[in-house]
Amino acid sequence: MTRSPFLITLLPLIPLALLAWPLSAVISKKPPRKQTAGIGIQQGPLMTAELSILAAHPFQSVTVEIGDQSWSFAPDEDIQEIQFPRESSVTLTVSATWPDGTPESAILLKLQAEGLPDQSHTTWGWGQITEPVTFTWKDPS
Amino acid sequence: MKILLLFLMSLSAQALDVASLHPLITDLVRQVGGERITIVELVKPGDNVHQFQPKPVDIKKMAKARLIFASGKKLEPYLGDLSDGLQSHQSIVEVGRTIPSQEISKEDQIYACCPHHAEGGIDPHWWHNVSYMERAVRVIEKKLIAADPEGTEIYKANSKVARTQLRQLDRWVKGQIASIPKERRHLVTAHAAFGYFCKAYEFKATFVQGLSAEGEVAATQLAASIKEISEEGIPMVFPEKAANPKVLKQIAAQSGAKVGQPLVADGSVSSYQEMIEGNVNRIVSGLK
Repeated sequence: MTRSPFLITLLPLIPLALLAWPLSAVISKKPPRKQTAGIGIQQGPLMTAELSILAAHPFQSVTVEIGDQSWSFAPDEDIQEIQFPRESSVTLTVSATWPDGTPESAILLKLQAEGLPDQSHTTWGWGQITEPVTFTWKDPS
Repeated sequence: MKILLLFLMSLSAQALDVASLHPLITDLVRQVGGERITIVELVKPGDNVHQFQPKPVDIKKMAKARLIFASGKKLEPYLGDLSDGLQSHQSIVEVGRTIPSQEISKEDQIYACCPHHAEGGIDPHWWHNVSYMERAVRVIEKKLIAADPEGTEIYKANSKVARTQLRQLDRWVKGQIASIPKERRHLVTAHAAFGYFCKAYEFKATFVQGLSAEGEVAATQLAASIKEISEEGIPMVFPEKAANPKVLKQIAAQSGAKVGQPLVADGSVSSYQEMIEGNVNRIVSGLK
C-alpha cells in the first residue's frame, strides 16, 4: 500500500510540530520577574539593615515583606539581613502565625539600618496577623 | 544534641587566626569565635587605645591573622598605613563602620578624648551604647563566616548567645538608670567620652576637662561648669580611669559636688559586661 504524496510530505513534519508547541511556550515566555522589581531597586541606592525579632511565645511563622521581597524567619531564627531602597521611611508588612492555644502574644521587631539609629516596634496578636509597620528616619542620607 | 555537635565541631576544626586592636572588640570576637579562632590581642586592657601605634613587632605578631578587627570611627588613625602593609590574605574589619555616628559638637571639641578627635571629628566611643555592641556582634559574625564558612553554625550560635546577653545587659542598664530621678540624670565627666552613653540612656552630658595632660581649660569655661554643677545640685562628678583627675577635683571642690569612682571609657577591663556594669553601678550610686 502506497501512501499519498500529501502524507509522505506531512509525516516528517509531525515531530517538528510536536516540538514547536513547547518551544513556542519557552520562547514566548516573559523573562522571570526580578524579586526586587517591585520596590524600585533600580531607582536608587539600597539600605542594608539587620532585622531582628524577639517573640514572647513560640511562633509557627513570621514573614516580613517589603514590596516584592520577603524574608521568612524559622522558629529558631532571630535575625536577618534585609535590603530596601534608601528613603526616609520603609514599610514592612509583617505576617505572623502562632500555634493554636497561644494566648495574645507580642513580637518585638528591631530594625538596625547601617549608620542610622535603631528603630523598633512591637506587634501584638493571636492566631494569625498581618500588619504594616512603618519606620521613619529623619535623614537617611 | 545540637550543642554537643557544635562542641565537637569546634574541637575538630582548624582555628581561624585573627587579631584585634581594641580590648572590648577582642572580648566580642572571642565570644563569637569561641574555640574556633585564635586571637592575637595587640592592644590589651589598660593600654591607651588613643595612643597605640603598631610597631614592626606588632605587625609580625599579626602576620598569620586573616582578619584584623578594629573599632573604627577613626579611633585608629594608623589603619590606612597598616592596610598598605598587609598581605593578600589579610583584611581589616572596622567593626564600628556601620554603626550610627555622633559628632563631637564644636563647643565640646576642646573636651575631646585626644587631639585627633578634637578636629571636628566623630566621637569614637560608640561601645557605650549597649545596643550598638549588639550590632557589632553581628558584624563580627558575618566577617568570621565569610573567612571561615565551615564554622558558620558555631559562629551563628555564639553570636545569638552574645546578642541575647547584650539585650539583657541593655535592659539591666535601663532598669538601673530608671532609679535615678530624671532631673538628676546629668553626667559630668572629664572628657567627651560618654556622649553615646548619654544619648542612649537620656542623660544630659557635661565635660569639664581639656585635652592637655594638665587639663587646661579657659577660666571662663571652668567657671561656667562650676556654676552649672552648683546650680543644678549635681551631687557627683566622675573622673576616668587613666586620666588625671586634678582639674575635676578642683571643679568638684568649688561646686560642692563629690568626686565619684572613676569610669572606664576605653576598655581598661577585659570584659565589656564588666565595664558597663561597673560604670552604671558607679553612676547610679552617685546620682540617685
